[in-house]
Amino acid sequence: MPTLLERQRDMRDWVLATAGTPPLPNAGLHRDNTLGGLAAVLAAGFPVTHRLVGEACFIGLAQAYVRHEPPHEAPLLRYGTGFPAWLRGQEVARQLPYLADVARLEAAWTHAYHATEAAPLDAGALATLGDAVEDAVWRLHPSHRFVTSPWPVDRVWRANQPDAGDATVDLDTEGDTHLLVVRPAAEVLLIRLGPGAFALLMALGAGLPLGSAWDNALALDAGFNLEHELTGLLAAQVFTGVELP
Amino acid sequence: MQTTTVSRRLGLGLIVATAVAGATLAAAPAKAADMEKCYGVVKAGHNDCKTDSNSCAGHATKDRDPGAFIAVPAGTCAKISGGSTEPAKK
Repeated sequence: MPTLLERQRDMRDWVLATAGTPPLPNAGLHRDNTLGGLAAVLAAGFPVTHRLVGEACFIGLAQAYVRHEPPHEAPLLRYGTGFPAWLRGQEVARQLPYLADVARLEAAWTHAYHATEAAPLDAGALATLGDAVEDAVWRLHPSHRFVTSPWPVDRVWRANQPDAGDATVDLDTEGDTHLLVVRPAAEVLLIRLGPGAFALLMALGAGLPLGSAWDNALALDAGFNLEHELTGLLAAQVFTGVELP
Repeated sequence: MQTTTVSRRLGLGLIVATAVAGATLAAAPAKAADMEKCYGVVKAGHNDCKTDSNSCAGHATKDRDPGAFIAVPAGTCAKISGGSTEPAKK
């Protein structure tokens, strides 16, 4: 006689099986609930992706993903972190080449939304550092994520928010889109970065001091204006601290 | 703490100080203390109500239907101009 654990594993394998499995009495409802519920979780976490492909298409995709990668833990707040990468390999991603990157942005948004709180940088103390700030290491808010795409995924995202009007998005933009996704306070911010600001923040995020990060930014964008960019970033409160080595 | 003896870029401190001044003039975003995150109700669906075992979940609408994700996407793609048919870039 099988143990309870064996029965549970058999049930799981049957629920997640794709085809060719013999019917299991009275189990169809569990399969429908499991797949339907987890697909709904993905639809909630990826609302723009859902909207872009439509309900029927999304549910089909989501259920296929659930079978490919079922949840590893009971809380489902973060379920679907692997969904964008998986989506990239699907047929629909060939038809909508920006789709997987939009999903990546939504995964970053969800990460930022649920990330740890942190107090913003004390800007007054920063100003007193003087030129020593060149060697200072700047800490980015723990909720931050960078998203880079050849497509203007932030515009696609905004155009597909429930309160967005009938905006259209031009996909033929010049160069890559660099985004900082961060939640300094209650709202998740999507901040579009120029190549210089992107290089600066990537360097600061990697723990390089401001002087080196500035060099990186200037290397990519000779016209990079540090004062202007820092003003915007400080106002958005994307930093939580500076440390002298 | 190690003190910097030579600053390669005199004026960096001034740049940062100016940026700080500019940033404080800008409208401050809502403080986290003003609003609290209420898990499960703030953002529709961003909750863990639907576990893989309870029955508040719906039913699979397209069970075992591989055609569902090859079918024509019906959504807001039409609003996005500039090629939703071919991966023109990269």
